[in-house]
Amino acid sequence: MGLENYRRSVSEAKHASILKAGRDVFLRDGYSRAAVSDIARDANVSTATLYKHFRSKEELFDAVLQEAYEADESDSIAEGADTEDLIVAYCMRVLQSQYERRVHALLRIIIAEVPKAPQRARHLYENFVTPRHVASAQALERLVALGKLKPHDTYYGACFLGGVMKEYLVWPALFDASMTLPDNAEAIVRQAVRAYLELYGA
Amino acid sequence: MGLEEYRRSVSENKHASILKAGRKHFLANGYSGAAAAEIAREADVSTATLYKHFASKEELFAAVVRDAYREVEFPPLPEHSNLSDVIVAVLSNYLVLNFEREVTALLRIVIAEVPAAPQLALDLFDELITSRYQKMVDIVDQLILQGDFKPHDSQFGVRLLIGTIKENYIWPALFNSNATAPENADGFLRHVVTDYLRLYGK
Repeated sequence: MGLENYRRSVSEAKHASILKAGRDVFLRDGYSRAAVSDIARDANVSTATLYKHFRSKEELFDAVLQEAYEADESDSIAEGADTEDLIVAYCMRVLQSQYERRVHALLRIIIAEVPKAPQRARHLYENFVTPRHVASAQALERLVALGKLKPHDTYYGACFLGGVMKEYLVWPALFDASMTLPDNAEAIVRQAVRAYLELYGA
Repeated sequence: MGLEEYRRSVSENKHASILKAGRKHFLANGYSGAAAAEIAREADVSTATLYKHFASKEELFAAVVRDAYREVEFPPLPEHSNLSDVIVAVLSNYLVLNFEREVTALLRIVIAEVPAAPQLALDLFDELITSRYQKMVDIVDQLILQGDFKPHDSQFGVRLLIGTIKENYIWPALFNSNATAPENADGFLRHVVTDYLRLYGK
């Protein structure tokens, strides 16, 4: 390994450990009370190093959300025969990732910022929360293009599917920090997708 | 007015002014940031009197949230000639009151306090959200009984109906302190109700 490579790999390792420590401290203390010095200590780096990687606490929190919301490749709607199964699988992947990455706890942190730092909360909502809704509408749009769904307002479609899923599986989790994805989650999602396909299936 | 009656009316007035002051302070400062002493001063009562009416800050906060929700009920459906119109009217009323009574702002406080006051959030969720849905479920069951709807899973149906609306209007407001009641919600509400009738109407 050349020196340059070595330096890069050390830097990447530090970046990752700051991100992880930041996430843990934000989840523990909330945004306002989280101390950058605590995060640096937990990540085993100096505060100066932390600021070399993330210019501010804001930027670090953005990166934490970015990571939590990052779509992996499997997030797109796959090709496949059965439309119902495709949409159910897509919804379940999103839900599982939200529960695994503790997105609800992070959302709670954003919501807590709304009265004190409304601009900041807007920025976080628009950059991290809204894109997921847009991505869902686009996924439905692709199914329309493939002839699997009737042409319809897919923004509305995402509200329909996202809304009923949130009622059962997201809103309750916002109020209950210990909630885990319930065993009947897939059955609920399937019931919603069936209703949706009855209306908009091709 | 007898002495007994006079005392009661004074006590009720105090109760109401503590509630009003509490609401103002919680909305302005959040739960943790609101001080019982300041709420008492604003309500023009002693702190001792405040605690006679509400045993703790938590109890006062719960009463404020309950009070906001009191009006945001689903009333029994009026006599109707057109089912779709009546349901749109009920949902529209729900949406407007939600914004007028700043229910979403209060929910935001409850959600922000989940890590600090988990039981409060669980209790309020059950009491206000789950039980309120039950009222709407009862209405739908009644409509099934009258033959206006096909027999269907009314628990699911209500979550579909309200979930879609919340996804479009309430969810974004959770992240936006300046959110006001939407002006042209009727088109969206009608879309949701039309879909519902397509699924479950006769």
